[in-house]
Amino acid sequence: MTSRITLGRIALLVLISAGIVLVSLWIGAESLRWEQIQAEWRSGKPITQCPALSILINQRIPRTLAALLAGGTLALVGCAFQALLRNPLATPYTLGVAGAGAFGAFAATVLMEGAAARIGIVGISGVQLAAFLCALLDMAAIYAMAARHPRMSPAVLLLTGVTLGMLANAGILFLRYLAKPNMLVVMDRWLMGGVDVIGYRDIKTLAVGTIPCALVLLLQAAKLDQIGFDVELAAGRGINVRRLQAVTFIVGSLATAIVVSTVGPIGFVGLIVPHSVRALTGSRHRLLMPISLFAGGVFLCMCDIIARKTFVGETPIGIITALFGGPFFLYLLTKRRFVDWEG
Amino acid sequence: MHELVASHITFAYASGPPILVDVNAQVACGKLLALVGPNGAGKSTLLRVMCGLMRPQRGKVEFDGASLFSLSSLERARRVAFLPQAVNPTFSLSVFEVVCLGRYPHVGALRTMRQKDHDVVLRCLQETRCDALRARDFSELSGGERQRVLIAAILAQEPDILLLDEPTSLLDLHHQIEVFSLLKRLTREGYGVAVVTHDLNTAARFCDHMLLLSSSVHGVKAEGTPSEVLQESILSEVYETEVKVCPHPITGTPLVTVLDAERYP
Ligand SMILES: Nc1ncnc2c1ncn2[C@@H]1O[C@H](COP(=O)(O)OP(=O)(O)OP(=O)(O)O)[C@@H](O)[C@H]1O
Ligand SMILES: [Mg+2]
Repeated sequence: MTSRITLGRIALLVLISAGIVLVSLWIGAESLRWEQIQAEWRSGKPITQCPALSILINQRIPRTLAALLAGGTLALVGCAFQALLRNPLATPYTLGVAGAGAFGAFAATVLMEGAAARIGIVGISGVQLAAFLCALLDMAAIYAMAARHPRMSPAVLLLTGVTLGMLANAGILFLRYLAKPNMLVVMDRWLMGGVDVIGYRDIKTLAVGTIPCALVLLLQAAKLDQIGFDVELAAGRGINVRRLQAVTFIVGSLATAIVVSTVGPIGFVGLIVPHSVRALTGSRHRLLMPISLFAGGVFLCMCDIIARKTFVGETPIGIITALFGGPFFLYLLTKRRFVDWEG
Repeated sequence: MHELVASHITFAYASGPPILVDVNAQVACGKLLALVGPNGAGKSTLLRVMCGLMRPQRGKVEFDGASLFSLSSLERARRVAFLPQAVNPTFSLSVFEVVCLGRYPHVGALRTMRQKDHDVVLRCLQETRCDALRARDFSELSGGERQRVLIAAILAQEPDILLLDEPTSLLDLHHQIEVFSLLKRLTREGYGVAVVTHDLNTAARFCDHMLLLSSSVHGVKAEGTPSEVLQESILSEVYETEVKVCPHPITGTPLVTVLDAERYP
């Protein structure tokens, strides 16, 4: 039910978000001043000679865009997977995509000893490519398992995903054991995720990959309402359940793989954001999904601001989302009832 | 006058034994059909085949003479609505939202609800006496209230034929009768209703026609009016227990009781 109260709250959310995005452009290791930017803009000098303008354009804007795109995608995929797996605690990583991606990134780092970060094709580094390919491999394995069953049963998807995730983690530990100490720092940094080293090339990869996926997922909203309520009832109402499950699974995993391979496995966004938004909008996906997309981006942006301003200097954003997201989620768990844990 | 006719249905689940062999069934508008039989007799299976969820290996299901499978799935859902045996929602929704979900075959995946859709939803809530529940959380309702809301939700599909799988199995005496009275009222209004139930006596009171399924014959063991189907010899064989049938003292419809053979030989 879209009552006036909800619309009012949504308006408030939009205002706060705009504020957060603006702050995100301004705050950082070096805080920018509006007068300085204006002066540099008017001076007409090449951008390399304008320190403030160049920070804004080459660092803050891409970084903010990356947070918006990655956070939004993770939250949206969280919504979709919770309905697909009929489990309110599912996340974009439940199916092992993040673990597989991290394993790929680690493998590339160890095998090529840093060269992988530099070599690459069409602006995508070797590490990113390896992460993406391993995430795809994880998807293909799960899909092959699920397709063997007459109905793509959520339980089979879930168990396969969790098992593959554990396998990937074992692989990661093994690679860490093999790696030279100086590589460990690079590898661990990747695991914590970050939007800090993002340039426009990565933004392009993210945007081209995630925006079409997000559109496809948004178009499934009404159908996700139906399978979230009851699968057989949904089929009786004329929904092709198998096709819906296949589309949601493939597109959601693809979007997650793209995010993981560009910004690393940033946790909790896909879990906390859909839950918090559900408390605001109710469970109808028509409203829940677009607002989660929006709120997920803003949430990650906010976490990134905090990451830049902690007393130890720059903190990896994955740590921030977990440190703030975890307790908040525990709080939500005490407030909200879960209708059906098993699905 | 619409009707849904299943003829010569043979069905087996993938690589399993046949469940239904050469089964005929018919649901006509204005009539209440009861499907009865022991557990595992294939009642739910027949219902799923009749609403087009599963294709039979042999035989056909026709709505007004046209194959159900020649209709698009949304067209099908606007004619035949199906309520499964167990419904378990993942997220909490209000009663109003649950009934709105029933509009899907009319609204589709991309459109939003219009005024007409809202009117239908409100009418279905009234019809099932659920208006007072509309703001309640569906998962917080009692079993009987849930069942009424689910019936409202499938009525919102505006179908001609309703197929309901054990809508009264979790309900107390009062709510069982209430649901059956509702179904009876709906048939008078022109819906065709088929209902699966284990409650032979209530079915005998309310339904016009009865199909008794049995796994021993992979299909229909007996068919006809309740008094034709509910006979001691037939029931004793199908349910493998000693069954007594006597006329109901007030309604005169058959009253089925089971006596254990040791105490009442
Ligand atoms: N999805 C399925 N796959 C394989 N076999 C099935 C499936 N569903 C049901 N069966 C089998 O088909 C037979 C008939 O089942 P069905 O559910 O139609 O029985 P029923 O008459 O509805 O029983 P109940 O009164 O217990 O609901 C049973 O032997 C059952 O094991
Ligand atoms: Mg059944």
